Amino acid sequence: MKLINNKKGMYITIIIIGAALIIAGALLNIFKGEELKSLSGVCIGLGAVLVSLFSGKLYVYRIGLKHPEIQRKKDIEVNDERNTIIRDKAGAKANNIFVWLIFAAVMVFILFDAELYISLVLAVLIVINSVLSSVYYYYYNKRL
Amino acid sequence: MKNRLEELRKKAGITQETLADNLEVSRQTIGSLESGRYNPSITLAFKLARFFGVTIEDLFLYGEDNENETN
Repeated sequence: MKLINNKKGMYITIIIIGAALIIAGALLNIFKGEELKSLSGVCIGLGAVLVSLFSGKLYVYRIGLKHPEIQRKKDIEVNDERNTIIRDKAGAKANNIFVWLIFAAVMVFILFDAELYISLVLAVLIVINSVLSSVYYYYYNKRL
Repeated sequence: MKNRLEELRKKAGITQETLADNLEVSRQTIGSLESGRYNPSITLAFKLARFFGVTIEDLFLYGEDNENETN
């Protein structure tokens, strides 16, 4: 029950943070104008994403409270061992494909003489992905 | 891996939905188990065996052709 309440509290907190970001972005736009235009845009965009995403989650959570049987079925679907395996496998495959896509993008950017920093950022992402893979491999190797 | 899940379930006169609901897994998992496409975790195998009052060996038929099998 405590966990459920924490979930609701977490959703509401994130919605408030999102709303605060939207307001901050709007205020920056009004008072600072061109000077901080990009920062204002980032604040509004991030805020809008947080508010819409977590409002949806809060709505689903409230439906779950009103209809415990639907919530139970949903929990079973989420925690089902076969579904978990499918999700993990799909995620791993998608990640592998994504790394190759980023690698291809790096090659394309280099071939077309794009700004060097773009290729470097993408290359760093590939390195971070490899490091994370190794860290998680080590972690699960110790745990399982 | 081959198993007698469908046979035991039908003998018990219950649907895949009911069995899934009792074991708190999805109906698709029961379907995949019955068709042999999916091998359950040891926990689920025990739950299934206990539900039907049989041993795991009675429920799952392990043969040489299963040696290199993975999910």
